[in-house]
Amino acid sequence: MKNQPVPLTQAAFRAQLMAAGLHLHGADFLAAFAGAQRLRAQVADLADYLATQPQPQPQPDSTP
Amino acid sequence: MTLPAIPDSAALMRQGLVTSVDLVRATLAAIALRDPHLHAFVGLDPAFALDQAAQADRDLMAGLDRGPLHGIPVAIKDMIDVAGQPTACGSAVCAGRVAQTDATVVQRLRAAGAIITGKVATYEFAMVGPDTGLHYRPARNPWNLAHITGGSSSGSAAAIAGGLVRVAVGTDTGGSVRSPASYCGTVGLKPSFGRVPRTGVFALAPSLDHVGPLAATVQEAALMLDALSGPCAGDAATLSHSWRPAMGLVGQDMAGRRVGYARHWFVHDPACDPAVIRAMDDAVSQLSLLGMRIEEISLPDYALYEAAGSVILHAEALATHRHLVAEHADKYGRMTLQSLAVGAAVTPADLAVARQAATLLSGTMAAHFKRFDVIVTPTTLTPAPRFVAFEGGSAVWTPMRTLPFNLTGTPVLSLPIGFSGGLPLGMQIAGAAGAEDVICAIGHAFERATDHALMTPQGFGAA
Repeated sequence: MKNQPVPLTQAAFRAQLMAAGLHLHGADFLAAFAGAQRLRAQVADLADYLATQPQPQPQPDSTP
Repeated sequence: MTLPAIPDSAALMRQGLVTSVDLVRATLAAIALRDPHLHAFVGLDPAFALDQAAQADRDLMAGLDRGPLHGIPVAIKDMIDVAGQPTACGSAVCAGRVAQTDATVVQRLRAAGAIITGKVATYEFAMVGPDTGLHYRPARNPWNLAHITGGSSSGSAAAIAGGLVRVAVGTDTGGSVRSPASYCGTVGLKPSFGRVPRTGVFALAPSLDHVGPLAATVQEAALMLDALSGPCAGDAATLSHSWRPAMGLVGQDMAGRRVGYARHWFVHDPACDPAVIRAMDDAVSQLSLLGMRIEEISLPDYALYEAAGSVILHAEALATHRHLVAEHADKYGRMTLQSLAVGAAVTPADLAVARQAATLLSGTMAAHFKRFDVIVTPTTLTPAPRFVAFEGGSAVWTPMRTLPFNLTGTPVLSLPIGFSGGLPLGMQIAGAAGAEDVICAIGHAFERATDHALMTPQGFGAA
């Protein structure tokens, strides 16, 4: 099943910005928010890709 | 005067027919004539450049020959420290910050006898642009002044394409050497990660940052890279490698080399200019005529490389700027601030996913380099856009295929392959880690077989 991007609300993103010491308003905030949403979609695509890759096999326990 | 190619200048100097002072005077005259149109240079110290040139001439007369770059004028991107000169990083944040010491790459160029002519423009903090709202005017494309140069090594490419210098140093975190090289019709060479020290270079995203040359020809780029390469105690990434000279195979027959053509990375992209597809197919045919063996290859989806690179770049860029932006947010340009802010949305879990994917994607690329000497793909999918598209105050996405090779840390050369609407197009030749000699030799062979490197802008086009 395809991973869906983790939803990002404007309020949540504003909180992330404040935690980073950034204060954006108006068009600047909206442009950054659009970029953040694209990034979330990209993370979901990467998670899909990883899910299709062979998982590393656990090494046999060599402890006597 | 058009500056001769470096090997020609070097020969003329050693025959006593030209001096380094002559070359620097020609450079300064070209800058005075053309840079008011191009805005490539942001810092120039003519007296100091002439002093260096006079010393280079005295050294050569005394029998001290420092090699192929002896007496050659070079330009340095304004992200890189030159002692006694400001490193503004294209930003009001750093305005007036004067470097106390040379970056390692500048030290190496001086040791090789090169003349540090001045500092050239960058997008703000090598991040995003062109931002027409900044104090520093964006460099303009010599092929048409109404079009952007690409970035972030904007001044480096404009200065070379405009005939002001033959070579310059740039930085490349996601394509910042290669994109302006493609848009301006110059050569750009992003080396293997760890080949060129970044000490004294303002960081953007340390796991993706590279320093590399831009040049008028492949051979000149290779000469520059060989002067810049080697370990440096100040950059841990450089300590565990030894490198073959980039010039090592230049001029040799490349027949029989295996070329993987990553055509699926761009041919179905609706953003791709059809002229790019034609120019790439023609360029690959030319490689075939040179005796190389061409095969279309199937790499993982380009979007995956871009996704992993984008997440890592935004997270690391915000980490780099966290303290600076907390104090000086009001001095940043709008585009840069918007781009930095995107990094705030990256969680530690996101970053872990991106790094894990990057490892796997890099491994897949490395496996292809066991079957192929090089992989070719376009640098940018369009010619340089017009400035008017960037006047809204927000970043504009421009389609390119550069970021994967920052992620993999493998070397890649961009060189001109044709034109669309009077503006240059570029092809990337990528190789395995440490294979700068192979990509430069193939690029040089292609360049010699075509006339793209001989084309120069006439009158800087119509605005």
